[in-house]
Amino acid sequence: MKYGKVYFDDVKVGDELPPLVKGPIQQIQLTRYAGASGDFNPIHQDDEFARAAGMSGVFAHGMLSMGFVAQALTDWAGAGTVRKLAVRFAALVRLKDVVTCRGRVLAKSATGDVALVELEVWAETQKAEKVVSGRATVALPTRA
Amino acid sequence: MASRSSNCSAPCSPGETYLCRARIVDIYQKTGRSGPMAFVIRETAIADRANEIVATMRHVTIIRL
Repeated sequence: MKYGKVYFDDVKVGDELPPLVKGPIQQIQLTRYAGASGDFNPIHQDDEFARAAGMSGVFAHGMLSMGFVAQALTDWAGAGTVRKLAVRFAALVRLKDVVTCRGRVLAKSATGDVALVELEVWAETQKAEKVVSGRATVALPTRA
Repeated sequence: MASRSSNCSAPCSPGETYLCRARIVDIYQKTGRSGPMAFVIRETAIADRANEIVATMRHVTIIRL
């Protein structure tokens, strides 16, 4: 994994994150994510179980998409920069979906030693449906 | 449907031990377009060995009734 490095001074309101494209989502990734997260809810693993629960089939863990968004952030801003990440889970990610994570700078503020950048972040499928949307705050180094 | 937010106040380090404490801070019921729903609000605090809070998380789980 490579982390980005961006300076507070070089960020402008309206700047966009480089899009991070994930997928097509495969079952094996959901099984790996179950192990990584400890969330073994069969609704993400067993198609028959998911249908019996009234869904059209298995779907991805919401936190997997939130993790993708966090990766888009750290790929751009660097490791250890994320101070806050808050998202709403708006729609389901299904098998074969391609998830693109995006973000845009909303505001900058520097007080004392802390230089913060606030962004709106979201992830959408190939059908342009937003699956997660939220806000993030990153603390960036300054050039001075 | 749900939401989640995380706040980090200090970096987490390899080799450190962390303790997560979660508690339900609120439960309430609302009626939306699809009928009655229950909201469960959970807050988790993550502390290091010195009991300093390094991160907090807030989870909102919505359950159709």
